[in-house]
Amino acid sequence: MSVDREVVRHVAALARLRLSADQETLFTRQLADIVGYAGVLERLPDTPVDPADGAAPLRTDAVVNGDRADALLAAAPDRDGDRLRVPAVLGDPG
Amino acid sequence: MNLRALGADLRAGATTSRALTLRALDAAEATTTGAFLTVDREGALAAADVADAGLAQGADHGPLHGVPVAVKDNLCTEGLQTTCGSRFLEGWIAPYDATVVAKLRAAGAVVVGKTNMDEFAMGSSNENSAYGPVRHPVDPTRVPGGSSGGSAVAVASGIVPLALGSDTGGSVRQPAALCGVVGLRPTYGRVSRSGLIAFASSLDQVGPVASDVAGAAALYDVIAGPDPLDSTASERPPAHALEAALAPGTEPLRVGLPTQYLDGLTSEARSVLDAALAVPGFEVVPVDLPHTEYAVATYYVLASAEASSNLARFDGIRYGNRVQAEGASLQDVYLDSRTAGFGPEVQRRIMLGTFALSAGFFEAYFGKADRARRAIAADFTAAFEDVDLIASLTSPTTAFPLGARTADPLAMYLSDIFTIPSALAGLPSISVPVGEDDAGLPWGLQLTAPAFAEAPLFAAAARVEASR
Amino acid sequence: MTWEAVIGLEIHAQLKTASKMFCGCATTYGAEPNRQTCPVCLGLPGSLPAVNRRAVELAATLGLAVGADVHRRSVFARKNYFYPDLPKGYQISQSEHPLCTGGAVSIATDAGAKDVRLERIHLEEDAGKSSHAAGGSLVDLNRAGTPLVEIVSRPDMRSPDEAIAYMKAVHGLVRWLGVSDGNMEEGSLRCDANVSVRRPGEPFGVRTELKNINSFRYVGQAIRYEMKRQIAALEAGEVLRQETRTWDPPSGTSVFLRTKETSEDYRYFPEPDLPPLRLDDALLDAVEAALPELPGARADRLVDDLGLPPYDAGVLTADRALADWFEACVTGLQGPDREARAKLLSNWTMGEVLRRLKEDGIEPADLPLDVAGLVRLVDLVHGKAISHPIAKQVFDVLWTEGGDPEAIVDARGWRQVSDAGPIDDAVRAVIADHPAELERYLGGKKKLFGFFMGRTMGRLEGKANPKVVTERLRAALSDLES
Repeated sequence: MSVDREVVRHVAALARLRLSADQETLFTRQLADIVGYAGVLERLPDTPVDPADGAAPLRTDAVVNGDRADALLAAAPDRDGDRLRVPAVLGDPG
Repeated sequence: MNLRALGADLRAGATTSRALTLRALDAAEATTTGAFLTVDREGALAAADVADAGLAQGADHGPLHGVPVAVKDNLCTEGLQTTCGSRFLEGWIAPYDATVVAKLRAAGAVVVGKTNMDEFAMGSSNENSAYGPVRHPVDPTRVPGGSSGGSAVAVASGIVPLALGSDTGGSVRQPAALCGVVGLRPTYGRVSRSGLIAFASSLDQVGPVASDVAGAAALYDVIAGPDPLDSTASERPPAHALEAALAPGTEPLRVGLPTQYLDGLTSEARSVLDAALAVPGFEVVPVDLPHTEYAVATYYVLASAEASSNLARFDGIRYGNRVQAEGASLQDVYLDSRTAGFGPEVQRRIMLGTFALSAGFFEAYFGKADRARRAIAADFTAAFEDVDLIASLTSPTTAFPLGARTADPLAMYLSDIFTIPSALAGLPSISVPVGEDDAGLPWGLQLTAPAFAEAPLFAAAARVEASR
Repeated sequence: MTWEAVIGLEIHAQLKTASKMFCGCATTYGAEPNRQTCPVCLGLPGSLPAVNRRAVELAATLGLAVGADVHRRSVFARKNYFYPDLPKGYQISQSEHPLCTGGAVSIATDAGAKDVRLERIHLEEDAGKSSHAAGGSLVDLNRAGTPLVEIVSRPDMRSPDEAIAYMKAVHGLVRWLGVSDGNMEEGSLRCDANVSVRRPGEPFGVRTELKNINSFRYVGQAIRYEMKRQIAALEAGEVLRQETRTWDPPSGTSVFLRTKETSEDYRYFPEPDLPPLRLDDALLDAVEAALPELPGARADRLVDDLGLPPYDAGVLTADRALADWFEACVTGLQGPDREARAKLLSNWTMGEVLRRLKEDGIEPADLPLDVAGLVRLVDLVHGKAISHPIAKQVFDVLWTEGGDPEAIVDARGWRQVSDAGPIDDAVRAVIADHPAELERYLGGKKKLFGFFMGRTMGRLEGKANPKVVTERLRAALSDLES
């Protein structure tokens, strides 16, 4: 599993990070080092793993009306009334 | 400045919360260590006055009543800026209190300000803050450790007796060790994460930093406990740590020294460790943690993977600093806001985490790391059948110079070699100061106990402290 | 060269809970934008999810009703992608370990009943809504975090009609169980289709994912269009690629969105903020105990007990409230001719009751008609005490004012006239009034009988027994012929 420039570009796009050419070079080297180091994990045998334990607590279905929408939306960078405004959304989500 | 002394003075009328708070505020504003990002003079003095009035009327909320504390800047504090050491959240005013902050306030503590940290808790030196590094209180050319560098320095410099930090792979323990104060990482799930801005959800825990073991125990008692807002928080009622710290007893304890942690220690480090464990009643025996070699890789893969997902919410849409040029598309807003808002270490870990989760790499990295994590936890479980505690140095070195490790991320990651395994296993782990090197730079001893054994852990830590 | 379609549907249904999946915000439709929000569903820094118990119960209810394996342990997972209506930058869903696997939904086809098998049913949270505005999009996060079940069928459907039948069956079932409102206009039930074509017996072909088909009509139209598109391409020798298309109702076509290669990598991994979801005995027992008789079983009972035709039983059990109401009506049917009277009740329910519900825009749950009232009305009709047109008028009075049908009939003098006397008078008068038509009738235009019938019934204000009128009129006219 190698980390080359193409992989770095693809991963940066998935992560919504805009890398300059220099950063691409730097990250390619650094990530290759780190991922190379993480290759130690390959030595671990593939023994079956017990499923994780624990149980999610279940919350009673009741409306808790904080009525704090104003405070919560106060930090929105761009609004139109109570709606958040963003540049046009094209197409549907993934 | 220790908590008990302050508490006694307050109750004897020898000082007031207002006086203590004023002193803390002045020191926080004056410090050249870079420890504080926000100092809340108005809020703190108001809280101090309430605390004083309460004490005067006999309403005593306990050991933290009226005591100034500092809070790491990744914990939400209602009405106060909360930045996580990042440009992305510069100016962001948290609209609610983290559960632990609410508990502090209910205990009468006075929050004087927010401490500097590695950005989004990613770092081991506090050099990754967008607001400048934190400097070591003894030697300003050196790092204090990270990511809770600001909290550790705030306590080590005597600005406040107590602070809250967060520990994911060592971020409370390592700066505590480097700065010569006490720092605890609780059992995973012992303390609520609601309002702690997440780095790695399955690893993060809020932890107390204090000038002594009893102070850390008192702060732990306030923050530990269940929380319906956090589904990963344990519903078990916590044991009382301060009681255990104040009456630690003298019973014999078997203390395991993992053989895997001894490789590569300098002889100076080794003798510090041996001397630190010369505590009456401690019987030191070797233990085997065979999967130690996978720990750092496991941690960086898992923590980065979770972080890459946790930090996706920082998109500039609902809060944070949006960068939107003229004619920018939605994708431009994401790309530009995130690229401008996140520093290089954060970007690096997001990239690493995204890579580990992506199709084609998931099994080899995330899948393997998940397996390794369980193997590491199983090592501890097996060891604890033979010993009561596991010991090591918290950090393989004392504080290193600023800039010494920044060129090589991997070298920086390896600073956490002793703190990472217990974090992966979800076990409670404390760092206690055990002397200084010739340059006056502190060493820390790390003790790890089985899950939810904070009380015996604090007791053992108190014994180490008493033996100095 | 016959082709058959291979169709699977993914249906998302909003669960009928008071609060959201992972926080206590209300789920009511139509609130002011962004008012039903909190740090959790806004994805504010530091917020954490807490699972809604009722959502789990409702999802388990649906699983039991379709005969699925309802797993005691399932795991939430993060589906990661960037979109403005997705506050956390990931959706909490279920991936490798869903709540339910297996199960089936029965549909009626020309060839008889058929089971559409289910792949899985899992829990997840809904996203918010974005709408277009000048120069951008506006985002409302009220809907973000609403509990959803995703119901994934196996590709068992072979025609657009089967797909429609399946969608209707699921729609009816979730409403019947009280699991979801299933309101497609409000978006509480949404559907995506996976469509491919093949020659019968051959392996499955390359499939297209069709999105934005949110009505029964669009399901049929979109699948038909897609089949045509794929068949045309394959017959022209083209190789199809796996792609996602969106249905565009105004143009009646599907529009290409993206290929599978360019689709997002969701990087699923187990949700670290939530331990596994476990269903304990208490929860499962409660869900089983509360499971109502399913519509199919109810319909079978109507056929077996009352001899109703299967068609009637189907219509009467399409809605739970209506079925319960009808059940109450037939429970009150004592005495002879039970099956005939039940059939009349069925006709009246399927006819007048459904018509008025639709006209007045009322839900069956809010039916204003008194059960006893309709039963007595039907018995009046059955006993020929009133004519059908009169019965309809009595029905209208009952619907708007209530009351007792007999009292209404008597107060208005609406008893059916069956005596020969008044009928003969009316017949004579009508014949006398229309000499021209009489001449034409006697001259051979027998169709004018209907004309005389209508005039006579009208003269008797619709109260006459039509059989008797027919007899007397026929008698009078044949007298004149001779």
